[in-house]
Amino acid sequence: MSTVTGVDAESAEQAKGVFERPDAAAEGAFQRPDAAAAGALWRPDAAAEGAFQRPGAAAEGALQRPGTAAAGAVEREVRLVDSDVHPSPRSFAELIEYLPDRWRKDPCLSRVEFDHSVYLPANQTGGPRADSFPADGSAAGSDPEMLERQLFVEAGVDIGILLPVAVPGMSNPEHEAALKSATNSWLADTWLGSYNREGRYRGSISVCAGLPELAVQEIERWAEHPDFVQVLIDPYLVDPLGKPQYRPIFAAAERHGLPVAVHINRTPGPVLLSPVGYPSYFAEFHPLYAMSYVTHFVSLIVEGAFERFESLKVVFVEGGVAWIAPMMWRLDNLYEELRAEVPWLRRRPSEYVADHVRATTQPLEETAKHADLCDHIAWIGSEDVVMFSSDYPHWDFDNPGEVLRRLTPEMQEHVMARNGIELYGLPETIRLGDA
Amino acid sequence: MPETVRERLCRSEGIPDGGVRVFPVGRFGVGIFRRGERFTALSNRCPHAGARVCEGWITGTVELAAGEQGKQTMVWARDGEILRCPWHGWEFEIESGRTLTDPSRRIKRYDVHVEEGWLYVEL
Repeated sequence: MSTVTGVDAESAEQAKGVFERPDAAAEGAFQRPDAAAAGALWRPDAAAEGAFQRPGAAAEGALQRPGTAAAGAVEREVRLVDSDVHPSPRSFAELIEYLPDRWRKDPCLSRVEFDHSVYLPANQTGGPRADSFPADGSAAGSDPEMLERQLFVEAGVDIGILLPVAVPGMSNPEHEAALKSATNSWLADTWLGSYNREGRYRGSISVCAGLPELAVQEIERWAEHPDFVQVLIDPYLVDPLGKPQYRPIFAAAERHGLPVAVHINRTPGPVLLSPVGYPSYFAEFHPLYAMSYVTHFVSLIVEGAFERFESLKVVFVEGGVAWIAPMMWRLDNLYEELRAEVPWLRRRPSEYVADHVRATTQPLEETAKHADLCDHIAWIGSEDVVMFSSDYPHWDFDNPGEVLRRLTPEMQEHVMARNGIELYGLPETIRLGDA
Repeated sequence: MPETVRERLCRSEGIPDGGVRVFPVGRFGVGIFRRGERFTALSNRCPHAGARVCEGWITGTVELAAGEQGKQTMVWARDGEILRCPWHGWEFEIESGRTLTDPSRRIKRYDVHVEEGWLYVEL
């Protein structure tokens, strides 16, 4: 009889299955027994037909999803909503097709690449998970079949909220706005169009918050599209989000019932100004993600954005969740003392959070004791605030099975699915195999 | 002691020197790493978040060393001894399967040996 070498406490725990859900397959992900049947969801030959109509293209107006119920389709309850998925064009050439000539034909400006600034020492890919690149060398997150396999089959996600971040903030805000507008057209044609065979993707309207007038135009352009479910902005702004210049953006979003998502989109160095200068290293930059959100969160509450926009919801994506409760305490402590300075606040600051703020889990605070993380979520005082996100296909992807096991049973349903369904108006079930 | 299962994998020359080959055995697959005539068998599952860790990078790492005038300097070290996970970049010592930061965190390791030119792993 031979023995396995080197079994220590942790690997023994792994061997007993503590690291695994009972139904997990060899990939070790959040996989369901019926996942195998859902393989090969995307069929290249079906992609050409039935794309969404573009805004203004149809007199009838109504935008419809291609394909309806097909024989053999399987209906399944939505149990896992991923609030942060990053599809990408295959290459920059795919995106610039959507740019107006003024930007596309300029021989200097058209050379702007979307992945030029990524500096990431943790792996050799420049940002994405190493196993997320299609075999043909195109960008991670650009191949529908591969994304469906890794996100839907291996990770077990039912519905993915798409936040394209291929275009970073740029020094010329008009150029940024044009590229983001092109991104929206591209997303509507591809991931919300021909790739969305089963209706499992919802998208974000990317706008340049530094130019609120153009941002509002862009929101109006897409607001009636059935699968754009939120507005997406970068947090790197000259002023915090509660300031008056951003109100037209929030007004337009609220008018159309669209949450506003804020998502980081830079790398260390002079592009990211922290409250005290510029971080040098990725190891400084990554833990500071939430710091810019803290500034915007406080500004939105204190400047009265949630009094002015009573149904507005703001989603902080990719900042983790443990920063929220301590900031609520600090704001409430000062309310007694400084309320007269900001008399438009009719509620204690913390009371706006449940109605107006959402935050996504990744990069999750992986506390040594799971109860510590659960305490921080519970201290927010509402089970509606925290939503699961994976950040697929980026290198710091959070595996849903690993997130799930860190949460209490009471939190699991809300975090993994319920809060996303409520916020984005998602269906309770999806139909697999529609074509 | 649990019974282990012995699996014959391939001829020993089937693993490239300095490289790894992953075999579909055991619960998650097993990566066989080769360095000269030394073979190491690690589970293809990262103990952090479950990635197929043996499909990451065989590489080195950066360490601090004594430099000139008593100053520390950064040096590239242990080339070929470190496995980095393809998701989050966790660094593991291939020989032991342990992370560089906390030896209690490790990839599960198996016995591997060569008999008459064939590689065997004990699962």
